[in-house]
Parts: sequence; structure tokens; C-alpha cells
Amino acid sequence: MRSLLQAALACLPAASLLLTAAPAAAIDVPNVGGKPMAVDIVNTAAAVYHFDNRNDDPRYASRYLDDHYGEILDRLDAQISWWRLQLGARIDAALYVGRPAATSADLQQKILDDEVLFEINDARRELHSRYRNTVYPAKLWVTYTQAGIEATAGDFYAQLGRGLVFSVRKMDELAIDTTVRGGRLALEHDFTFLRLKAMAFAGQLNPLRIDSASGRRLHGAGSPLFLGFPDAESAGNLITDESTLDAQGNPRPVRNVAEARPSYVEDTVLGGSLEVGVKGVQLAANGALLRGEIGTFSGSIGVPSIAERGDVYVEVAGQPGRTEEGRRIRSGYAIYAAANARSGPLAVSLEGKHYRRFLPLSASIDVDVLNPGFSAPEYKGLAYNQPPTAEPVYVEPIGAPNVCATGGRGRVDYRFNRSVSLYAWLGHYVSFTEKANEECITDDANRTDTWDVAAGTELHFDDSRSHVRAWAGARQSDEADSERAFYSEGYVRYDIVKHLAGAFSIQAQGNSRRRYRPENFESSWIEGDNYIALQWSPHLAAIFGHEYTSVPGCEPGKDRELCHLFSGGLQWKSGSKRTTLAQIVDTAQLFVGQRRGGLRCVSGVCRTFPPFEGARLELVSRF
Amino acid sequence: MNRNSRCALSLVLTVLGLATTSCGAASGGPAASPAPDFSLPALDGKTVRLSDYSGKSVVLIDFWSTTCDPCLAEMPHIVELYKKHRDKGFVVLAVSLDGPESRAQVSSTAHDREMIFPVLLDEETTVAAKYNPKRELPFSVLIGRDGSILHKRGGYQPGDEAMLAEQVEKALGQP
Repeated sequence: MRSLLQAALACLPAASLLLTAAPAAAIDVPNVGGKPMAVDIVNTAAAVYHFDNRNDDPRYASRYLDDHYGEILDRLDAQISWWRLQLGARIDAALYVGRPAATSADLQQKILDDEVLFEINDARRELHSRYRNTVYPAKLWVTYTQAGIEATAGDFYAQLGRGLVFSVRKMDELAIDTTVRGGRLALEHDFTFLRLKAMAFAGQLNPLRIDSASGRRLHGAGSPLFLGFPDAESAGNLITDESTLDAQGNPRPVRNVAEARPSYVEDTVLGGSLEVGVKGVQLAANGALLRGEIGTFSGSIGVPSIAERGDVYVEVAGQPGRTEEGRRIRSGYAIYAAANARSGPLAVSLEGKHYRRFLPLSASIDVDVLNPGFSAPEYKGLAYNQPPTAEPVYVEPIGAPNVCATGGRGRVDYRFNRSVSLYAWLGHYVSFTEKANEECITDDANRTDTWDVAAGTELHFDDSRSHVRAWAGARQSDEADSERAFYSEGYVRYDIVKHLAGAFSIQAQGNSRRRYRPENFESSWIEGDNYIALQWSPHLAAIFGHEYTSVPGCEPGKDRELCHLFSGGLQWKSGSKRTTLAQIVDTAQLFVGQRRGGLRCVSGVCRTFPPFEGARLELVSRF
Repeated sequence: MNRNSRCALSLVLTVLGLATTSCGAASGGPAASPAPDFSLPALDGKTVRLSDYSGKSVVLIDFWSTTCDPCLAEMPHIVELYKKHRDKGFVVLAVSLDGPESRAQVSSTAHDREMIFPVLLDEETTVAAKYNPKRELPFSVLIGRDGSILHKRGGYQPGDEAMLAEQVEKALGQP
């Protein structure tokens, strides 16, 4: 092995010279059977080092075991297209360097000094499913496409209606890439007066097995569909050591062995839809059956173009009642509607929802924080449907606001000319599940009333090379019974780009928020992000960031003081594929510094990220 | 050396192998990779297939979403480019990746931005998975008259529109 590495190292200088000098095309593949074949490769490799992210809390082992380690994350996406077929794969790798250990002298000293409230066995349990070196074929698929027919075997994405019944989509911003692994068939035919579309699928849900933000690995139950994936056996038994006293009162070591068990039991799903389009009206029926017991069904009607002045969409969904683990779960339903109207410079958009006991299709993942070693709490928010919230996309949910809620939002856009526009929205929501209320009891004790309002402007100048987008908003949520504030927030968000000259421009982007959540904190706090970037199109961007927060406990020992987080970064884009080096270094990004942790929401899907302090170098190669 | 390390080494060697392969294929110009076909519903309810245009026109597939600031910043330039060259056989397919949360805003945004070309809805992210596996936004794919992929580009910063215009004009000039 050593000689192989030495040989590889000796060849590196020559190879680098060759790569720099050589012009290149994509991977050259000869025609097969007279049909052209294309190979498309995107490789994303990241080397990350985590310093102390300053989130230590003496109660939790997890907060001490996420510092001072390195990781190499690689993701290889490869596709081959030939004739009507496309074959694809995604291979993920996570390798850890200097990973945290329960036996580290530093941690043991903290335990001995009673600096922390947990024991060494807690650290062992925490590490049982974290920082495990893993390489596995995350996605594999083959798709056949011809006019009116698309058939896939392997991994695929699917959504029924507007996500009420079923929705697994690519959400790479949140490191979520759940697919269904199985089979899917979609047929479509356009008759003269009628358009028909039918889709059916079946398989098992395939979430990513490595949570890159925390290093947590998900262990499956060993379904044959997921050959090569990490399962419970690959993690092994969980061994902890304890000390007891024998009959004579002498300490006696005892070794406990907890048998390996999965944190994810592969969910099965069966789903389908039928769409009919007649004279500009679209009717659809959707259904999905999860784990053979949780049914969700919907019917929708949509008119995508009303005299080219607007559109309307209504979907009604239901979840029949069932008995789960001896507990009766009552039936639930959801009604969602959206409409748009436009005329000249004016556009109006309306959205409304009325949901009662409409439960998220949660994954069979053990997310119990009280079951360390065999749980994966980082996957808590993973659900297989996504009912629209009719709220701004960046709203951070409290509780489960969408399970039992009624509300809507109206937005108005007015464009004075090509350079200036204004917009504003107003939303009102009544929720009975922001507070814990599994039964969806619609009384004042559970009710919160929320108003959400914002207004902003967008200005374009310098031939649209420069722009200002800025808006300010407020959100006020009150408890109905006491009329006390449940949550309130005021904020400003902005994105400003000024073209300087030629290929150079400068960008400032960020937000500032004042938040109040009396149930958790006595007083309000502020937080915000501000980023400035100097850009040289198309190659380089230099970024400086400042984040701040005054949330109590933002750092150990800080109560009401402001915590500052700084970062800097560089981004290089080759902007072409002319040389092999430009293909290998299509994009390179360096980030050094700190990032605030917390809930991050993208398009209505939210997940909690731990704070980060360290350095990350990411290299994207395209062939 | 354990199984994971062997797999990781194989992955590295695969990438290096690909680099070597592409090196050997040096031709000095962009590669002629056929663009995989797809069909998506458009905002007006009709179904649009890439093959309706591919092989006849120069097609720019632009992945965007209503919640992506750089996508909205780039859009006026794409609209201008389309207006300038549509008579020469230039087509833009603006593929929205808006999901359930922001899907309702797509038609208003398209109207507000004067997006006069087909706006397609990839709510399932199926087409994004084919062309844009990292789901970058904005992300554009330029397809030549022969149906082959000429360029792929992720992100937008002011000035990028000049390079895009140059690539489109060059593609339109090719037979």
C-alpha cells in the first residue's frame, strides 16, 4: 500500500503540469449502437475542521463532543445518458480525523472535576452513532423516458398535489435529500379535448444516512433494498462500563452490553395520482399509504390561467382515523387554496389554509434524546409531506403550528416602472398547536392569534446590474385566553448590489431581528447577520460576515451580553471547462470563522443546525 | 486499511481517473453531450418537453425560484437576452424549483419580472436531479441547436450576463 501511495505522490507534479496545460472536453464516450452517450460527473469534496463552537452545556455530552475534529465529506454524482435511458448514482463518503473520544483526558478531567453533569458512559452512548467513517451508495437509479412515458427503477423524488399528501424533494441547502427507492411509472396522453396524466409509485423511503452537520449516522434495519448502507450491525453493540459494590462493599466493575439496534426502520410507501385537464381546468386525485397504515388522500381543482389575468388552486385532503400502538388517532383534514390576479403593474396573491388534526408523515426514526446511542435526534423534523403554511418562507415555527390551524396571507406587488416596485403582505393565523395540544382541541386555552405584516421595495439601476431589495416586517402572536404575548418579532432584511465598474461589484446582504418569546426568555433579544462581498465576475468573490445575538446563553457564561461571530470567505469559479484543471476546480470555496446555530428554514422546511467555528474548504469538480 | 478507507481511496482514484479520461479527450472546445429529455408542466397548464425545442433552437434552461435573490437579480438580463435573440431561434425555459411553500408566488413573480418565455414547474425536483444534482440556484444549462449541452453555470454575480450573452450568441452562430 505504501509503495502505491509513494508512486502516486511521485506522479503528482507531472500530473498537475499535464492538467494545467491540457485543453479538455467532457468525458469522451463513443457512440453506442449509433446513439450518443453522455457521462456527467459532479464531485463535491469538503475538508472541514471544527474548533470549539462554544455551545458547551454541562447537562449534555453532545455539546462537548462536537469540538476539535476534522472531517472529509465527499459526494460523487454521476449520470450516464444514452438513448432514452439515464443511469445515475450518488456515492457519499464521510471520513473523520481526530474525532472526539469519550476517553479523552480533557473530558475525563471535566467529569472528575464535576465541571459537567454527565458521565463517561453518556459520552460513549453519544458517540456510538457519530463520527463513523462511512462510504455508501446513497442513490442509484435508472430512468426510461419517451414521449408520454417515464419509468424509474431505483431512487426518485415525488410530490403529490401541493405537498399535503406526499412530498420528498431535493433540499440540499438543508442537507436533506430524501428519495423513494423502488419503482415509479408516469404516463401522460394529450387527447384533443382532454389531457390525462397518471403516476404510481411504490418503495421504501431513503433519507441520507449521514447528517453532515452533526456527524450522526442513521442505522437502518437491514432492508434488502439498501445493500451497502450502514445498518445496526455495522455500528455494533454499545458497551458501557459501570462500577457497583459487592457484598463486602468493594467496588466491582461491570460491563454492560446493549445489543445493536436500528435508529431507522425503513418506511414503505405506496402512492399515486390521476390528473385530468379539460378546457383549462385541471382536476386531480392523489393518495399515499405510509407503512401500510397511514393513508392520506386529496382531491384538487386548479385553473392555471383565467383569461391570462390570474389563476386559482384548491386542494382538500383527508387522513382517515386509525389505531396506532393501541392508541386511537382521530381522522384529520386539510383545505388549502391559492389564487393570483394581475393587471398591468398590479399583482395580488392570496393563500389560505384550514387544517384540523392534519399530521405530518413522520419518518420511523428514533429521535428520542433520552435514548442516546440508538437515536438520531437531528432527524427530528424529517417528514414525507409538506403542507403549505401560507406564511413567509423564513418563519421559524413554534410547536407544530400547521397541524391545527386556520389562516391566510395576501400579498400585493405594484411595479411603477422597470426600476421601481413596492410590495406588502398581511397574514393572519389562528393555531391551536403552537402550544402542546396533540388532540387539536380548539379552545381558547390552546389558541394563539398571529398577525404577520411586511412591506418592502425593489429598485434596479445601472442597467439592472445594481439593485436594492429591502423590506421590514413584524409578527405578533398572542395567547387567546390571557391575551399575553406568545411571540413577537420585528425585522429588517436587505440585499443591496452595486455595480462598480467592468466585472466588479459589491454586495451587502443581511437581516436584523428583535425577538421576544416570554415562555423561554424574560426579555427580548436581538440577532442578525450582515455579509459584504466584493465580486469579480465570473471568477472571484471575497466575503466578510458578521453575525450577532444577545439571546441569553449565546455563549457559556454570557447572559445578556451580545455575542459576536465573524467569518471570512473566498470563492473561485473557473467560469469555463476549457482545461482539465478548470474542470477539477470548477468551484472552490473557503470559509473561515464562526456561524450562529439555530433553526434554518428553506421553503417551509426547517432544521436545527449546531453553531460552527472552524474552517471549511469545498471543491466542486465537473467533468 | 479497512473497508471504508479502501472505498474512499477508490472514490479519489475514480475522480482522478475521470480527470485523466477528460484529459485524453482533449478537443479544445466544449463537449457534445446530448441533453437528456424531460417534460414538465408549464404555468399555463400545458406540458412542455425539451425535445419540442432541442435539436432546432438554442435552449437556455434556467433553474430559479421565487425565494432566490441572485435568481431574481439575473432575471432581467435573461429577459433582455431572450427579447434580443428569440427571432433567431433562442428559447428560454425557466424551471422553477419552488416547492409547496412558495409555489403560489410563482405566477405573480413571473408576471412581475416580465418572464415572457415558458415558466416550467419542477415541484418534484426531478429535472433538477438530472441537470443540477447539487441544486445550485440560479443554475443555467445552454443547449446548442444540435441538442448537445454547451455550457453549465451556477450562481450569478453582476457581469456574468456578459459571458452568458457571448455564449448564447456564439451558439446561435453555430449551424
